[in-house]
Amino acid sequence: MRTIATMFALAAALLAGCSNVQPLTEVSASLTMRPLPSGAAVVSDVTGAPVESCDATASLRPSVPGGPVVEEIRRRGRLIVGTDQNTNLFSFRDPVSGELQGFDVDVAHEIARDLLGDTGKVDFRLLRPEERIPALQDETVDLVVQAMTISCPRAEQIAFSAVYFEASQRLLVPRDSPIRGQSDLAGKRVCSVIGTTSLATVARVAPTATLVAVPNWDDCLVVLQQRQADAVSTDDSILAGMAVQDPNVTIVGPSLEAEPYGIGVNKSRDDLVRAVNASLERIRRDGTWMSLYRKWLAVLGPVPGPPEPKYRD
Amino acid sequence: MRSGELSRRPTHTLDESLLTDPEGSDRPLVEFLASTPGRMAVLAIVLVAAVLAAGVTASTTIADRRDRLETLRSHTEPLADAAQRIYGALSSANTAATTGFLSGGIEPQDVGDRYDAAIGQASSGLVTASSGVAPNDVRSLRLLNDLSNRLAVYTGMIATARANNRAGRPIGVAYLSAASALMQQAILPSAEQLYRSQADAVGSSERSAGPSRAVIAASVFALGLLVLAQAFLTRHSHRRLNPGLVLASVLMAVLAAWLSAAGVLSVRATTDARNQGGEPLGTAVTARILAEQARADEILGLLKRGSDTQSDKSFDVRIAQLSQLLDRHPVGGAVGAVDGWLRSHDEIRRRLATGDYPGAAAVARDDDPQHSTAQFIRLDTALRDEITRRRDTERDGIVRAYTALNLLAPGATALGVVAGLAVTAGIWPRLIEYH
Repeated sequence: MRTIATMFALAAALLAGCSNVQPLTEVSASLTMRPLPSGAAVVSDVTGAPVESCDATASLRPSVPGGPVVEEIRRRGRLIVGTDQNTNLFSFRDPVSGELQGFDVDVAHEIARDLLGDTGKVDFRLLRPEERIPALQDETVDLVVQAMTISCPRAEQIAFSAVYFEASQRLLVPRDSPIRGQSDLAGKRVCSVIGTTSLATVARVAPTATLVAVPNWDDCLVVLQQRQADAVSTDDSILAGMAVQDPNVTIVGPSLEAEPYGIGVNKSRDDLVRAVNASLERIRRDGTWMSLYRKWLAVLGPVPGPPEPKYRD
Repeated sequence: MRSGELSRRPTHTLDESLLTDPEGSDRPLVEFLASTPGRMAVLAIVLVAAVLAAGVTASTTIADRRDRLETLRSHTEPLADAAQRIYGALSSANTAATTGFLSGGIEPQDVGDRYDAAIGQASSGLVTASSGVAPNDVRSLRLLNDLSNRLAVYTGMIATARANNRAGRPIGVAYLSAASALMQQAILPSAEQLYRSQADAVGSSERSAGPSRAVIAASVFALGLLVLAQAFLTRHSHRRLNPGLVLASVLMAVLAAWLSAAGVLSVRATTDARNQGGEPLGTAVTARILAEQARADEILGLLKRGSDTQSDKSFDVRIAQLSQLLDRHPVGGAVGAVDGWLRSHDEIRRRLATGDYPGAAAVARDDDPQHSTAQFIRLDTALRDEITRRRDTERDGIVRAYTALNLLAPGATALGVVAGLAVTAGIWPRLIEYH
């Protein structure tokens, strides 16, 4: 019965010249593309950073810890250290254990060992880059140990310890990339973090490169993996943190700029600067520095030894 | 010839002297029309035509309205609901994916299940919506196309983020953050556009639900004609009331009353559907999406603490918008949950300010009924219940509007036909008397 009805319906449709058949609507394919990370942008108005005109790396000579600030920290029983948790290999949170760790974190623990006799007596405060100097100035934190480059403008606002790590700005590229140095960057896309001196240095050494500015260093690795940039340029210490996460990328080229790292201290707390420098002397001398380097930064290749401190008094 | 006759007819019918004029037998039609039985016959035809027309036009317009309500009930509204489900499922997928990262390398089973279920709901919503939109609705088709394309990219990025996170690589959070940005800045706005356009279609269908005044006027006009005819007949016959015409008048009055009453009921039902259903539903959907995104921001802000300013700010913005919505449109239990959540969020900020990151993460993650997870779930449940309730109200209103019109379509035809028969039955015996 139903079959007959269907046949009638079909016959009717055929007689009507199939006019009631709705043609299928074809939707054209939309472009499949991975977005740039949030807040990332191609920037064009970066002025190349001038070469540093002064030398701010000379610090105060170390002395046995014992000034008023050190006494106050000892009374408190905790050393308050500002850092972040997204600078791989220097200060980062291990996703599996949830612990904060890295080269800077271990250095902070070593300073606590000398000041308070216990590596565990450190309270970390998580700071964004622009919060570092204000946090030192209003004494929210005692120290900033956060891959911080000693620069002349910063040295006018805060005091720095002696140099504890010599980084240099280099390039991170895929292993099969033809880029081997700054001269190969012409017309390429180079990633760096918004507002950093690294970005300004790339603008100076490779003025024809397209600059991709992202909010975080890990975003640069995302951009490189998604082929939205041809190279990443910043301190080799930070590039090393990316290189260990992806065996298909490598650090290349000579140094574009020296980046001496120092520990930031409030400008009026001279005794704390001297105590920190004493602690740095100790870890340089007793081999702690070399073992920390091997533990975290072996990917950067062997170094002859820790950087030599310079003192101005 | 004939047209000349017809055009002259009105002047003749008005001329009373012609009624008694025995001459002019060479023009029988004109003569007949001019005679009392002729006028009665014309009257009968006009009346039958008027009542039939009133019945049939009422019936067709009502049937058309009823079909539109049926389309609204069975197609337009479910399509809007599918769009709403896509919107909600996508944003809860993002919240679940982000929550998974709070617990370290391996996400908890229930969070993973929630993500999988949300992706499943979004996909089924996409298929339902794609099969429902009109083939010429190019804009909706393009939105659906973008949505399914980007959903594939999104799930790929989440998979990359999870694989890196499991391997203990911090870049996992960067992928998570990029995927979340894709969701919040590209996918959710498309889903919202789709939802708004479908919800607008529901709203405009609801606005055009009542029978038009012209239909009611037609039945009132027929009733008026019947009353005039009654007066005419009373003058020319010796009976005071013609039962056929009386019955027809009553039927037309019933039709007019039924049309008005059904119209009022149906319009009130659709107004309820819109004011108590559709409009608060739209607000509740917006509120729920804001809550979901704020939760994702809270967690991302924690994961990227020390390097990200955006998530914290956008949490505050979204919560402010959410509170504003809830002020204007209170939802039971939601305001309390928002307050509790804000207290928990302040606790997280306080703990972060004193360097207690593990404590802050625990407040964001653990099962304490005063903490973020429980408060967010309370809020989300309250808003989801509100969405279900408002949708039920809206559907109920549409069904009531449909029911109000349901019997009217065949009823109006029947009334018209019976009234026509009554007119014929009433005038026929009077006409016979002249032979």
